[in-house]
Amino acid sequence: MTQTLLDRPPAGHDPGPGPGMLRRVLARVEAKHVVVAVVVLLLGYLVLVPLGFLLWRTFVADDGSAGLGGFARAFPNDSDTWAMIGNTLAFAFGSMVVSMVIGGGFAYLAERTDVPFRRLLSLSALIPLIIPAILYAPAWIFLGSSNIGLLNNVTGFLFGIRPFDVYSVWGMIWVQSLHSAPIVFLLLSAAFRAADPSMEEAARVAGLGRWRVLTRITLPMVKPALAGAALIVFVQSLEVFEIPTFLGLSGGHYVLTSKLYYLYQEYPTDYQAIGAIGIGLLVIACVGVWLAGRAGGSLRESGTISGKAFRPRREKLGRGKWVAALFVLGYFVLAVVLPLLILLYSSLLKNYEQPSLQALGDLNLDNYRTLFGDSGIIHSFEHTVVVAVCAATAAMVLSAVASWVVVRTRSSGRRLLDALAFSPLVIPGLVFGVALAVVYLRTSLPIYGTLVILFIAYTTRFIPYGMRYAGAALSTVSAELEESAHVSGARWFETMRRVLLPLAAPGLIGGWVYILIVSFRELQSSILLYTPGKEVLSVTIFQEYQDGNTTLVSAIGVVLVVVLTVLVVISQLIAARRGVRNQ
Amino acid sequence: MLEKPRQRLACLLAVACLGGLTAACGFPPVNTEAVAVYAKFAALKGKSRHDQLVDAAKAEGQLVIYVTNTAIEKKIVPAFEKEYGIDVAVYRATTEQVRGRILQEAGAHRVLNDVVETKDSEMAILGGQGLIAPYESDIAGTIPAEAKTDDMVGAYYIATLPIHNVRLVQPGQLPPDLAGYADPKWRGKVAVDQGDFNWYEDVYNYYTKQKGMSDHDFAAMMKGVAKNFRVVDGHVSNTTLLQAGDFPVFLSDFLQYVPSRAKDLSFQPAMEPVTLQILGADPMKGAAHPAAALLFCDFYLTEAQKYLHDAGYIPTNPAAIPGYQPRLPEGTDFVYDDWRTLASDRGNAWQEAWSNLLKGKDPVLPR
Repeated sequence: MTQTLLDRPPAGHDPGPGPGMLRRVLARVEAKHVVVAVVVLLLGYLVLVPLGFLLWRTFVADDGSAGLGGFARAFPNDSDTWAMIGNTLAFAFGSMVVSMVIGGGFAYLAERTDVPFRRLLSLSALIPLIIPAILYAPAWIFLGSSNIGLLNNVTGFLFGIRPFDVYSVWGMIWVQSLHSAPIVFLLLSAAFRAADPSMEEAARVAGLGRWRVLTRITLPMVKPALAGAALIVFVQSLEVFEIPTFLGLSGGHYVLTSKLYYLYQEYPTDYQAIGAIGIGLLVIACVGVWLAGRAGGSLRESGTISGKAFRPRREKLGRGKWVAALFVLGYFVLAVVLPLLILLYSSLLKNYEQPSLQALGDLNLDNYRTLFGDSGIIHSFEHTVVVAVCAATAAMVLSAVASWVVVRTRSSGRRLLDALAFSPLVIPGLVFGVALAVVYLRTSLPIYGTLVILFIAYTTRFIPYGMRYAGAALSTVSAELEESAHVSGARWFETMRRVLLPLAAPGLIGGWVYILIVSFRELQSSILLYTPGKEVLSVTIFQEYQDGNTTLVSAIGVVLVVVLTVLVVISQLIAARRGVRNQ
Repeated sequence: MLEKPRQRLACLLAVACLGGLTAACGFPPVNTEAVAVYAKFAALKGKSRHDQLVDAAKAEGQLVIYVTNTAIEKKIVPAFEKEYGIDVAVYRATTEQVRGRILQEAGAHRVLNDVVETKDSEMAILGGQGLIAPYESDIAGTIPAEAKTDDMVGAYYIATLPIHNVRLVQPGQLPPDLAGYADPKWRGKVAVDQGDFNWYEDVYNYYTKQKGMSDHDFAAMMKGVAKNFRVVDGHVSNTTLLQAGDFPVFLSDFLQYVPSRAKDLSFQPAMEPVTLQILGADPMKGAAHPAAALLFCDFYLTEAQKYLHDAGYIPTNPAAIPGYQPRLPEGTDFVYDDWRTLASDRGNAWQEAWSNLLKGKDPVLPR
């Protein structure tokens, strides 16, 4: 990307009369400088608080002495440590590859080909995200356990074999990939949709085959989104706790987060060792950032939405169309229908029992009556809506401006800003919760003990997602459009409002929706930070689960899927009405 | 488009906001009078104490409790609120999370709860930090000595014992003792929770101190049994899987997860030792509502006992429950949690030993 007019002061701008350097500097300040400064300060504050806490607790002991003792205790030089690091990397890398293949493949099919059942793919991207994590792994145990799994029961009945084992490394990777594939799908769909197909068409006219067009033209065009998606799912898999715990323990597959929670149970809590694991994850993530940068290029890749209008042309798959359709249907059944059916079935029972004729006789609606009659559950849902909507909006506003700095300016600190905004992703939720509690307990403002602390936690934790969405969306819009607006006399604010944001809206709305959904799921910090009487839904779900009300939790999961799906559809309709390009 | 003065104002505001966020001053002071309130009511007895306590608690009007028990929120708190008209706010989390929250708040010189409800070893940690006040009342005299620790008058026990799925294993197929689970036919079929190092220590105490087994023999027996372990995390979720038939036996499960009329789960015949954790409620030293805190602790040891029993726990004051029928047979050999050890550095050593056993490493006993 070349230097643009955006980095220069506006033409003909008069610094104004008056002596003094300060006056001249202030006279050159524009709205964009104020907005960018405020956003950078806010973002820096939000991120540096937990990050600073992590570093402080890692390198400074309780008695005030500095040292690396935490690393020695967290990573003793034995075979267990190496096995744990190996398991963590294998799990994260395997999940990244599988989710990239699934999410990326389906995004390509949905946006660039005439594959049937495209709308099913959007649902497949949404629903696995909404199902509470605490239920998703057990749902897969009921499907893929070698002893009681429904899939094994079916293959056992039909072919006499029981091939699935969800408790294996592959089982862990599969379940995590289904959880991660949606963000890959959402990020790459937006990128594919925004990419100008004229170059692909030119390549086809020039005689290039389908595979070469894909690898030489299409994929390089969406390199920023590819790199961003791969990085996010890799880091997400490093940090995830529920799936290795539910599925990995029985096979002895311990990962770094298992160790982290093990350390948290000890007294006195060894925060130095916990911090050392956090730093270990951060180092792995930084290597990931570096590799992603080398493999996929930076977010500053050249834009592909130009001033010319275009209509994406879908490639005809020919005879392969119905093979692809079968894959789409198969994935929809595996990722959406089966887990949802298991949830629905479970929600109609008092206690979970394997599907049978006798069990069918026990089905009833008691859990739904309890759910809608329980004011605690209803209130926690209301609290969650408030916090999630505010956090998603704040995170996307901050991300949009910060991404603009990263993508559009030549500011020397842009890479630092990008890295800073990415780092919350890899700070474990537990460390995050402890850090915010420690900091805000010491401020007199009404933050600790209110919903505001959860708003701060969610906004900060999910800014990395916002940055990937916003970065991918902005980088696909050519800078020449902004330059044209600028040359035509539009100020920065107006250019953003009338040119850049509408064009980048699909990606930005996609990010907002994603953060909204993951805010409903967030538990690791919420359980440490919530206030009595102001529970959020993830905490209520966890508590009901702890009470043994697993089938009631299933009912909450079903209702959540319905409500959030409606919410997402409404938000997309509103966006479409306001004139932005429909997703 | 912003005007220039507005831009400057915005800059100033942004800086001021950030400065304000980091400011630290002006908290409500920790209530130092709570201890005096506790001392006053400790000197009173019977109906006079109760009536005065109720009046004082009603005047305070509210209560904040940090709890681990799952039965409190839905049964015990509504009953307490209904009886005394006092609003109760509940923070519920795991024992480690409750401890972590209280210690963090104490670290910032803030006491935001009036009552803490947790298990014996965690209460010993909080007691060691000087955060809780001893619960003193004539009700405490009705609780048996084995339910009391240095820091707490226990309200109930959590019993840990093997629970099995009756569809997968019949009572006659169950081994009579722990050593029987070393048989290779149990490979991968015996679930244990990775966090149950307290149960491991209790079992050690039972076999070595009560049955006279040597450390060497105990370690050899446990290594044999551990070869068949299926390591899991979470008693609730894995009791669900046990019920669904994913494995036949959960060796260190909790009694309260077997409903009285459970179709598929059973703990009978109860294999010994049955280990007991003691749990209870204590008032906080710096409580903002000390009288309400004391009243709740009274309630927990009396009227709440029937709710604890209904939830599957073993109440420490069964005399408060009309027509009480114990779930475990008379004469069952109990081993109580060694909370003093668990709350000390030796507790971490037991956690490490348990972790080694589960991973097939040595040593499997603390050095």
